[in-house]
Amino acid sequence: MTLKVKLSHQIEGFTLNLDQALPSKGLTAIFGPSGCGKTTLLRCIAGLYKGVGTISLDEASWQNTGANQWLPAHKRNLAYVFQDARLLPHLNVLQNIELNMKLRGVIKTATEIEEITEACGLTSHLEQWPHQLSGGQKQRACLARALLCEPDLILMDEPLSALDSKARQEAIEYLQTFKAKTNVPILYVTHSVEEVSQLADHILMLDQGEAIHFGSTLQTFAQNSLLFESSQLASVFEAKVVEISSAHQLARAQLLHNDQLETTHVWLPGTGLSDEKQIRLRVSARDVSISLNHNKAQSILNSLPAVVSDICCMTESSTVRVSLALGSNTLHAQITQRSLEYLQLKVGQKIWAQVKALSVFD
Amino acid sequence: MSSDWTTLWLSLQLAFVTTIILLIISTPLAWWLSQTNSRAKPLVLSLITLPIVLPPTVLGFYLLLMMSPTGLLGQVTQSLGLGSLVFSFWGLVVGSIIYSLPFAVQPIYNAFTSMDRGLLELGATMGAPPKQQFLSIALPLAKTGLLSAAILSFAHTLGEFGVILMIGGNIPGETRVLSIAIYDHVESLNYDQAHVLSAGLVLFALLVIWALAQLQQRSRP
Repeated sequence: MTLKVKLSHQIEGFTLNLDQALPSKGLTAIFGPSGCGKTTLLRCIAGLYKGVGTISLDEASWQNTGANQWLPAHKRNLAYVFQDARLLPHLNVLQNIELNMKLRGVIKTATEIEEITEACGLTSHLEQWPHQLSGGQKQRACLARALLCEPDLILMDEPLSALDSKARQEAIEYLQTFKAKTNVPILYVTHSVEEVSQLADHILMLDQGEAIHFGSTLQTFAQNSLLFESSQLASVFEAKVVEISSAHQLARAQLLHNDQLETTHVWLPGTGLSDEKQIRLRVSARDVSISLNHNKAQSILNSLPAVVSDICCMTESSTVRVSLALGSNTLHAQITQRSLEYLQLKVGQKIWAQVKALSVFD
Repeated sequence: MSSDWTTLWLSLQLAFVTTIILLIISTPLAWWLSQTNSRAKPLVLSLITLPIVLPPTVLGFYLLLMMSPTGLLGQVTQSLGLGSLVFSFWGLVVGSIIYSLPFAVQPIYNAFTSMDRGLLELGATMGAPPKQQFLSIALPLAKTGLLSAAILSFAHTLGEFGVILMIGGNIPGETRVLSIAIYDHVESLNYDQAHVLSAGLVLFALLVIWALAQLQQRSRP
């Protein structure tokens, strides 16, 4: 299954111009600064805007301007989760879900509905009206609705941007469960690098209406650091928990996707982790410092031997981006021009990377 | 007094029939107006609003001409074998529909235009074709507007005078409605009977205003 989009659409002096095949499974983040055309793209795919070009999902053509064909929104079997957690205000949560299923001709048993709504934390909210729910609860109702109406494609337009940070973290956890429960491809529009690093399998980056990059999330973070702004620059790894140290409430994890002999291990806060568990780690480039020697007398837990693989001086600021090889994984560090001169770093040099903080996503 | 009961009954019948027909006409009309970008829209809106500013006698005069056996409407009704509409109950219904049209269309139109268009988009992405979007989303959400339209049309038709006098005259049991009866009573100095009917209409008007205020308060979230 593939979603092919070859499209151009003009709106208010802005042009979206795209020719991209998108993966048929997993979550693809459509990422970029505001005004880059993310939402426009999503609305064209949904049939809410009528661009010029072709859109097809598998064999089914949703739009082919050349052949004068255009499927209206209601005939495209998709689910759209809007930024404002849109639900019909005159129906309660369950009625919203049931109406969507009825319109799509989906029949589910009460048990199936119960299972999904429970997984979305809605059991006690089914009879409530949308105005009685918090933003997070509403968005979870939209997720349950999307899961139950058996779409071929799920579109999400910044679903978490209206939530406060606590509700957002909670919603991300629900989204991870959600992702695991469905085989349906998800297109997820966001401008948050945090959400991308936690949820996305693939990234499509847009800038000024055009695709500037498409690739897997891990690879994109490792190899395309110049696509990210300084504040966004981070390294994302997949790792497996290999040891739990209950005395210190810490866990040790081994980085995956490493074809070198030497393995890299990191220490993590151990709460909620179990042995053998596969996790995702994110290290912000600002949280990595470089030392020429192994300094054992220090409080930082993760001091990792690495090799400088690339040095890139940013012209617009006095910072330097240093890529460090941890086996075949890449760790980004952001240091000052002065530190670079002082340490006299060179490509191929062996150093110690000190990781001050890392985020764990399970 | 028994003729007053006939009059009241006739007025209620007229208001009821007019309201039902107005709701059936105004709902799709208001929906079309709220959705269209047609260049005819301002013209249609002006035509609908015209009876508010037009003197009822002027409206009545033209209706009388149109409904007369030689008029456009009169020829149509006669060729259909319905006879003349002038001085008949159904003539009053036609007049009342035109006279009260703005009071039915405006509240429904306002309800449709103030509705979040995003909800229709949501409906489309849920798989609802336009007709279903109208029935499952727009209509239930415009409930307050529809109710306001019904109350206003009913009340406005009940108080109608000028148009009816012009096209209906004063035939007891056929075209003699409340406002005409009050006029008659005053003319013949029957102030007591005029009082009963007038006070009844004042009470009714108060009730209508109160009901509308209640509606507006409840529709606010």
